[in-house]
Amino acid sequence: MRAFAALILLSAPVGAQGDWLLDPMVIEQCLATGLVEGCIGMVAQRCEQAEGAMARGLCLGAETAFWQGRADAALARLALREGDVQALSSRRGVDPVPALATIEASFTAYRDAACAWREGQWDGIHHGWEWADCRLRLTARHAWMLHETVEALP
Amino acid sequence: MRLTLSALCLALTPLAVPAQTGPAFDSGPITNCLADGHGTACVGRGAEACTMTTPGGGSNVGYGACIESERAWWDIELNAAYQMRMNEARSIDREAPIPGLRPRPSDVESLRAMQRAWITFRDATCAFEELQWWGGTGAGAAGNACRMRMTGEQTLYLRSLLGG
Repeated sequence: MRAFAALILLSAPVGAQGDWLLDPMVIEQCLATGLVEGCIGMVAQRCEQAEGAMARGLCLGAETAFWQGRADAALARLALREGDVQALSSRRGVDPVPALATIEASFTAYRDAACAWREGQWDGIHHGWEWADCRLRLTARHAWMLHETVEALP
Repeated sequence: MRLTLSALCLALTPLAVPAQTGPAFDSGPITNCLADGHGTACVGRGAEACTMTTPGGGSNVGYGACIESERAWWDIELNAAYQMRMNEARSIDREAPIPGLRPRPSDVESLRAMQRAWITFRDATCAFEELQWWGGTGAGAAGNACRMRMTGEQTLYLRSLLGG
């Protein structure tokens, strides 16, 4: 099942998944209520209800792509300040100098390790679904953390 | 004698001097919030309440002390959740392999790898976040608030398979 879900995810471009499987406005409206945790996975669940259980991996992948898009948008805004932050950290002698690329690499390593651990708790068909659900939830939380960091910038 | 008696009275009534008792941190707002099912949104609730109930809690120093109190609380919770998971992982690793299936990867090693990766991720993220505020009086608190939030989220992640 994991291989099947991965095959489906890889066969469709990220943008195309978001276009026909979920309406981003539904998530945006949910986020506006402030109950962020409850919004994560909500659209994937609706997608699965509409498309059937066999589409679960695809639906989870589509929502993951949505959150990754939000993370990328926040990273782009943080990148605009990165030169100033790097210069400041050099002047202050901060070592090692924290860089956006380092954060993203460490997040990816963490997400992969965390989802591998969670995936390992399951056998059979749940194996791949747990992996996809884990990626969705951790990507969404990371995207929201980046968003809040941007919003709180001095 | 008078001085000694005064000192004794002060020693016996520490609650009469709030400024010396530290932040009024209580984990109740967090645990109640978790019981209501709000998950990671509950991280920070204890510190928030603490700033309102601690004299001077709204100052940078008071806010920082409340954040540190909740961070330390989550740190204990994280260690407990990790130990529980490690005990489960050891038990899983002792199970006999299922005939016909490829050998299962070590759950203990998988758990350790995740936690090591999380520490690297936390340190990189919070150093960066602290630096966004560098030079201001809130820089240290921003870094510690980041550590509190990430420690809380990782605790809940570790608990999640237990439904907590």
